[in-house]
Amino acid sequence: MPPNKSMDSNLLDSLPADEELVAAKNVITSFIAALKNYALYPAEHAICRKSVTNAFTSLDVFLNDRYALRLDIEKDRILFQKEVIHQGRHSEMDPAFLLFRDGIRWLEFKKGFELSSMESFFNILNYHRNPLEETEGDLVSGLWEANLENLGYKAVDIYWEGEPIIDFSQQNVKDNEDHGVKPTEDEKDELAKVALPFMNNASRELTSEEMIKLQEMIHTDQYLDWTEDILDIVLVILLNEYEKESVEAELEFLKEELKETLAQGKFKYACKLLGSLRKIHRFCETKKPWAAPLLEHFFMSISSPGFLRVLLRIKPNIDPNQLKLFRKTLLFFPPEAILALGPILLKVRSPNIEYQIKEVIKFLANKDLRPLEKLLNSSEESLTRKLVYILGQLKGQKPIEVLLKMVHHSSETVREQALTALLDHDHQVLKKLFFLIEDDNQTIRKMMLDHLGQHRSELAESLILDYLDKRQYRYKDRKHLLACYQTLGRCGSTISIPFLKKALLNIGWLPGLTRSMHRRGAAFALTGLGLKEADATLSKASRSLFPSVRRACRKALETQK
Amino acid sequence: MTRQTNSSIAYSQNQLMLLAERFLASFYKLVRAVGIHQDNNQLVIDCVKNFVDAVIKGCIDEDYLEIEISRGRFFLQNEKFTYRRETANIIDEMLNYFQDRKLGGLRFNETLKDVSLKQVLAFVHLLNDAGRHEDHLAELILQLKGDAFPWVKIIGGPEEEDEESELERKEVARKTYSHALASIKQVSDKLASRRWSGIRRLKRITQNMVDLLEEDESLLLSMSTFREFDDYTYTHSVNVAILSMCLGRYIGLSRISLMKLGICGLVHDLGKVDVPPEILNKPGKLNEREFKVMKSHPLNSVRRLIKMWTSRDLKVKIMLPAFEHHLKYDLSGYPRIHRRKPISLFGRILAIADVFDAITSPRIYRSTTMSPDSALALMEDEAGKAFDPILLKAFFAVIGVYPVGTLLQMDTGEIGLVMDAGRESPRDGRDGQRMVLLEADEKGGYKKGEVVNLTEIDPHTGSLRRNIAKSLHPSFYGIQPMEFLI
Repeated sequence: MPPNKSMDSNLLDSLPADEELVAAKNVITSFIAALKNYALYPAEHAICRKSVTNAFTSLDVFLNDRYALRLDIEKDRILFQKEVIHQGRHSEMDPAFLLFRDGIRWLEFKKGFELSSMESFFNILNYHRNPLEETEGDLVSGLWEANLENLGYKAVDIYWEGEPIIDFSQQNVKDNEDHGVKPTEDEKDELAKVALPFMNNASRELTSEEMIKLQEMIHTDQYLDWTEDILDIVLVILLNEYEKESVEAELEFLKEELKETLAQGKFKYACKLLGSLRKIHRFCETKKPWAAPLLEHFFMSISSPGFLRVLLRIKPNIDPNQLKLFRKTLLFFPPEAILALGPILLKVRSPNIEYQIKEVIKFLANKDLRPLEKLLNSSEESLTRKLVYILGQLKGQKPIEVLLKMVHHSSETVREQALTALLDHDHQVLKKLFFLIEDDNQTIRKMMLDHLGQHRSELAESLILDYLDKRQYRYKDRKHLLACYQTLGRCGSTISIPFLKKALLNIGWLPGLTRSMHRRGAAFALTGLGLKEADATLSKASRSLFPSVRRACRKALETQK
Repeated sequence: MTRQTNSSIAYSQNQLMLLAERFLASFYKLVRAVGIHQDNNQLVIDCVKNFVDAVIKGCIDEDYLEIEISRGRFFLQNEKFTYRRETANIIDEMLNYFQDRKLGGLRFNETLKDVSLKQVLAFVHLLNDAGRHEDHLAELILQLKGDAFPWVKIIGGPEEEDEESELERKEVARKTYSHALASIKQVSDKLASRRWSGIRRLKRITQNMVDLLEEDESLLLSMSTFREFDDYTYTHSVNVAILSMCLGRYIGLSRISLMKLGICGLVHDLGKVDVPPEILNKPGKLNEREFKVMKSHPLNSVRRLIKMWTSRDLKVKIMLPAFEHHLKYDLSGYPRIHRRKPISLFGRILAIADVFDAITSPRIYRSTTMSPDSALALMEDEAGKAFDPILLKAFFAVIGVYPVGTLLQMDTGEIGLVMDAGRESPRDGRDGQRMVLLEADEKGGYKKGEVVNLTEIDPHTGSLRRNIAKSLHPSFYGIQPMEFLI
């Protein structure tokens, strides 16, 4: 400063120009706006992007013909060249408060500060807005790690404010008490001798080859996968653990690890981990009963939809070996996982993965059907269809009962699928399904009749015979009844012949309009039976005095031809 | 009120740096052009003009322009010169140029504007030649100290750091160590009381340690000489963190990796809180059962670390070395494992730092404590068995022939503490280790004496002024090295 200037002019000189002050204020205004937007929207949102660009532009305008913008941070305000350019408040939305709280006392943006750095700056500010003990760092450590080019700052050690500094000269460097283990002079000399030939030893210098190896070593270490090692270590700890809180912490850690290994497609590790945890669970059941429920809770928690959503992160193009491991991993899950795995079937992109998940659901449902049943009752149609398909592949009576319920489902497609599954499943189930031959859905009726008539069957014959003979039908559609007779022709035997004979030849058997339809149906059935007794009846009918009987007979024979 | 635009403040904050950049760029171009072309080349003439112009414009509020180096950075008119990506190369080149000539700084008087082209070129030639030979350097110094170039003067000398900033750094170093110690104690206490603990403090303190390491490695190494007999575990952890970080920096780890390595050092022995004090502090040898308990501490460290609130990545990064730090390079040691994979890089670094600090620390169960150089000799025998041989060599290079804090007895009868590793330092061109002599005081203790260089030559005899008679351990003499080094 020139010595002839007065105090007043010195003071004036230390103040920034109007134009400069306005530019600095604009920067702060744009910063505040950006910070607010970061709190409201994700960083990649257009509004955030726009506001960070605005902040960058204001800074750029300021730095146009200046080298740097230095901002002094005080508890609730920001100063530029001793002028207050922002009066803040005690709020996480206020940059002065945030920066000061974490110990930043000034910030300096220098020429060359880039837009990407500005984005990082706001990301850091936003990330550390609400500090919890759980958060890994703070604003200062965030800025340190980001090491943004052309951003300077000064931070104070807020965590140790008021903490006494050790007086190093007052600390004991040796044992002041006599424990009887004192060094002898000889021992001191012995150690001193070791040191001397050591000096100027050229073999201690790294050779160029070693330097190269060292760099390779550092590079390799970065890419080594230590997952398996870490999992092994924690499993050993878990097995020997004796504190409930620690078991919980260890299982929580393993849960996160499992999630990552699944996301990264490291099924070998995931499979090994779950296999080991199953063994530990069995061990705990007998040796550490207090820990067994914690492991059970672990398995339940990894079966939640929130956890298993991670499966959607798996890359679709996994090879067959990995697919096998993937399946093997999921087989360790409890049946409750079905509740989460089911909905994933609708979202998974790879047909291979979908197939494996279906197989897993099948396996788990065989252990306990209840989760699948629960899911069936609450799922949307597209999922129910997939689940019914799986259900149809399960063994045992219980799945059939569920499928039988599913034939009453509101969705016709689901009902058809349930019926398909049931019909494939067990012939004995026919009795319970027989009512479906009168279903409103034509496809279902047809499915039933097709199934009944697919081969000779006493059961099918008796069901359909009863239905026709005892006139149990409520559905008096002509085509339907004819189809029933035709079905009887395919599944029936000589047992049906007396009834069919009666229906064809006995004029008084049925009164009313449906008589001719029954007569024709009986003729069809007899034709279908292809038995000697049936042929004889048809022959007799073809010579009947009643033209309607003869006509029925003729039509049936023509159809057969 | 109309506010006037001011020269000093506005200049010092913004335009000064642009002027400084312009000056350095013109200086750089000039010395390069003079080195390549004849004096009558038009480019050379233009470069001189630009240089003179840049000097004159740079004489802000003064009748001179002063460029100085302090702690490896340029200062122009006492303002620290900040790097920009665009100018970083030029700045680095000029730093090397100054350091090659052992120039602490130059002051150009504004009378330069009246100086002839020929004289400016003569100065630049002298300057360029000074980098090629010691004699030329001496000539440069002689000429600049004389009246040959009255418009330019050497200032500062070879990086004479002002005492104030050195004291300030030492104070920062003391605080950092103290805070690191307090932080690891706090984490340990929390975890011991079965609670979870955050890692914010540890992260922040290791970041401070990395900054200090980048600024003054010797200072950080000096801090690792601190010994606390009664609170060994914690001082040991901080020392291991420091030694590991120094080794990590030497092998070229990034600053983020150094931070993680530092955290590994701080937390690697957290499992010792599970070892009963009567075992931890038992005088003499441990029996089999006690040793078994002791051997469980790496696993217990991992057990403790699981209860730290950190990201998954950081947790994994710090858990593995804690588990491995007693595993040897050949996979012997403890805890016993069945794997074939080598120990992680951090684990191998930690193993070296851990053993070095442990065997150089006075412990209740040992009758002798090794002096740092003896410890290195002992460790060298274990290269390839207990320690990674390459990393061990790198460690030797980091801490020097006589590690910082070694107490040496000289043939002159003097005793002193080694102050630094003695590697070639760009700060002052030193290549020998320095030692602070200790003088007996009236209370039976020691006081700080002169700082000497171990490779100092006696001009009369042509041989070393002092020869090492033997190395001793400071603790035998009740000496706390840190007290004299920081």
